[in-house]
Amino acid sequence: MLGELIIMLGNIFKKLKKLADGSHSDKNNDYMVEEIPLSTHLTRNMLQLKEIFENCSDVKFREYVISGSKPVKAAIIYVDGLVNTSLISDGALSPLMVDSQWINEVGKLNSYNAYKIVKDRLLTIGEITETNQVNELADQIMAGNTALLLDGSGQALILNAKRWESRAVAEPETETVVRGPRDGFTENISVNTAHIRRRIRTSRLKSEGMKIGALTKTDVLIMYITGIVDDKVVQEVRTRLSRIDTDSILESGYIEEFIEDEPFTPFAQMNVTERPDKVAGGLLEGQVAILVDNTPFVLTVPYTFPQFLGSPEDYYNRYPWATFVRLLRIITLMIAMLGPSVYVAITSFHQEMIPTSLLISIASSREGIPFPAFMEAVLMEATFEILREAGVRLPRPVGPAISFVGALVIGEAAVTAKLVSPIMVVVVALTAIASFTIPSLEGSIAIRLVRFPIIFLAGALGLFGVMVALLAILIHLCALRSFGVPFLSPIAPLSLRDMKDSFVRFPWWAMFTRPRMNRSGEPVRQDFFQKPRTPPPRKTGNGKGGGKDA
Amino acid sequence: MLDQGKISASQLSLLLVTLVGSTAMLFVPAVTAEAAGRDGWMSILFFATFFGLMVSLVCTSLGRRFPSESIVEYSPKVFGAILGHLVILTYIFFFIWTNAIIVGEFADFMTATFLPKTPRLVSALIIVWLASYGVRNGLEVIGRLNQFLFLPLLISYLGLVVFVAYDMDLANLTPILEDGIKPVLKGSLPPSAWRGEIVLMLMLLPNLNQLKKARKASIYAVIFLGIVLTLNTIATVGVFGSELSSHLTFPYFTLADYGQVAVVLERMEALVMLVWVAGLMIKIALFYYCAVLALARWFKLQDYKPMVTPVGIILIAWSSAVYKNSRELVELISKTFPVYAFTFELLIPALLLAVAAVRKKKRRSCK
Repeated sequence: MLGELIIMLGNIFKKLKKLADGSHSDKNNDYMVEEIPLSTHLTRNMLQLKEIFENCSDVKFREYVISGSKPVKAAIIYVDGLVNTSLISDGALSPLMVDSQWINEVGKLNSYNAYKIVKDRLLTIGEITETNQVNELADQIMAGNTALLLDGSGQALILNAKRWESRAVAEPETETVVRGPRDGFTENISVNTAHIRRRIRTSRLKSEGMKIGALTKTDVLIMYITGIVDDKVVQEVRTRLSRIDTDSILESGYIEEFIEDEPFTPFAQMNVTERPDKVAGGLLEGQVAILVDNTPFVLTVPYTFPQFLGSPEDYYNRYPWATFVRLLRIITLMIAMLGPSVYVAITSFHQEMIPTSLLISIASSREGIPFPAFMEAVLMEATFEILREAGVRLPRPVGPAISFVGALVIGEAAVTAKLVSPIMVVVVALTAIASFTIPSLEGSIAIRLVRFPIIFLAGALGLFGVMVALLAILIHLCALRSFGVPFLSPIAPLSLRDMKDSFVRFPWWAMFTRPRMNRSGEPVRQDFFQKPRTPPPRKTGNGKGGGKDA
Repeated sequence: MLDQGKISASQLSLLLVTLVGSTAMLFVPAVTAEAAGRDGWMSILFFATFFGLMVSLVCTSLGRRFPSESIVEYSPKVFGAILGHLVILTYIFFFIWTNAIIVGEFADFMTATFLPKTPRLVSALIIVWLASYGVRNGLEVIGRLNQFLFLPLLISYLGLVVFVAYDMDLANLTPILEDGIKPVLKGSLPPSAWRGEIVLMLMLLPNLNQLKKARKASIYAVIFLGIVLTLNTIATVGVFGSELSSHLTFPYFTLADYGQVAVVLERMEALVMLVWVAGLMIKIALFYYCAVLALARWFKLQDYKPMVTPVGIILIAWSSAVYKNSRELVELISKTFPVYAFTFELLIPALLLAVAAVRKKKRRSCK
């Protein structure tokens, strides 16, 4: 019996392995043969390309003739919608068909020298590359470039005239600030790199590109500042990215799950942001940014606790306020994580901790409620999560209806119907609001997720259960690393120097070193003595001290 | 190396403080007051600290003599195969036995105060599970966790002294040395046994990243503990008097009950308990880690993690059999434990050091 089972499992495993191997060899080849050189005959090349792009109605072929002593046949191929057609007609069609008659070499142009003359003297398009491989040509066409083929030449010219419709730069919706720049990343990766480049105008800001995904061939860029970044981290990012072998990358979330340090955790180990200023700030502190095409969400590593609690606005507001807000966020973090569970634990296990008058009011408000506090809390928290999810999912015009129904049903009717106590509503509402003060999206998701097991433990063991849950989470967080940097640094391991930008934010003139945890190559950011000094009072005409100098 | 994790000297220092402090805070005032009466604070401040310093000197000397080796490796080298392995066996026994007592203390404490209707086994199971989670993650993570929790721990230790300062009557401490020095010496036995728990350094030192700083770190920890525990005892005796202190099982906890923060939180003991659970978890995890590592090193395993669950099961089972009731526990920790403690904490390490010095045993590759 057991033996059979083992054999069966073994067979299933073998089949799975075969399946994985099979799909592996399929998906890496778009075309039947790996390397085909281009022919010197245009018609042959055209046939080959037309075979590759069979049934691709959005791929356009345009054949024409270059005027010369001997007319030369030419063709351009592009994908409709990815190409700026007016640029193509001004830069690649018109010069070749019309202007070619007026140049000096008009008498000499024939199919042997056409390629060189066209490339050097006729094409008026900025970015040109060459290839002699059919596959590469097809890849480039798919990426939005335009191919120019000439008869008599085994080389093809690839013209960069990409343009496609994309969303305009808008204020990021997930991370809003009161003070600070309002531009956000878009789905276009070149717009995104421009955002960062405009902020950091040094040649030391490097961006390395690669394509990931056998079918999507998504552009992925690694950005960092040489000297400031720890080279080991960059190398680690490179290796982890190059290890990805998948057919598709549609969003940076795909990449995140492929390259993170610890896969079994609700906590993100990479910072996700759509704010260019946040990415630029991270790069300047020695982080590495990973940009993915087709998504406004950029990843930065290493990710540590201060970023979990920090908003870019903290660096723009005055430092006492920023410090206050950060301390406030620590309190809201505790409320968001522990609010309902502590309420459950105290009301059902440790009533002696509550002052008598408050205890009486809680008891009277709970009179006639059929559920224990634990059930109440779970019900209300679940209801809140349902409402939140509905609010995200619903079409915009219906959104207000949900909030109206939610407020009415949860706030009023449930209390009047004696399903839940009003104090529970207060606790849950406070928790919900508190969970939205955590600036990072991923952070608040993790906190909301761990809240439920804590409520269960609180219902079972009281405050001891809460502590057990907290300790388990803390051990987990202490063990968590983001690209080798401990997640809880600079608190554990403690680094007093890095504490200047953690629970508190020191004024800018005092933050003269970069965070040590990023192991930056250039630890010093700025000159030490930059504290603004009050200038001496301006000497008035009858000043007393004036005479002394003379 | 079985556990690749490294801790810094300051992390070691904080670990040692938590290691001793988390249970000593709870039990030491009572057991000291029983023998030494109102002069208990002297036992703790002078004699126990002296003992702690001795232990720390012996352990760090051994650590320096055999860098990146634990007692499991150098004991057979120094004592020879048979006696050396016997020493290892007894040490593993000592680690697990002490830990079983601690887990038992914890379970009893939970049953007595917070979860009267929950079976004792449940609390033991939960705390050992938490500790095993820590052990699985290695010493580095335990060190970081302790670092993270140290401030709340310290506040709960010292904050209480501040809160009860108003109710403290220092006249309870006089007359000083009424019965001579003898009771003080006798009373210093249990606290010394506690302070000597820093002998775990024998297992922890290989994971220290700067061996040179080990001695300084452990001495700081011993002195800091001396001050904190003395304050704690003075506060307990000052509030309750020496007679009552010796009869309370958990005087520190009663103290927490006594203290009041404004009117908002009336009974602080639940909060103090929470922080104490954290400290205790770290203590259990450290003993647990040492037992697991000693076993794994002894058996020359590639990975220590397979030992975590078996040791945990032994721990839970033993914790429910190691003593019968809380009176026996007090007897155990005030009479029996010191004998074991002196043997394992000072006698054997000192012998090891002496024999190693005589036989001039050193690690070959010691630069």
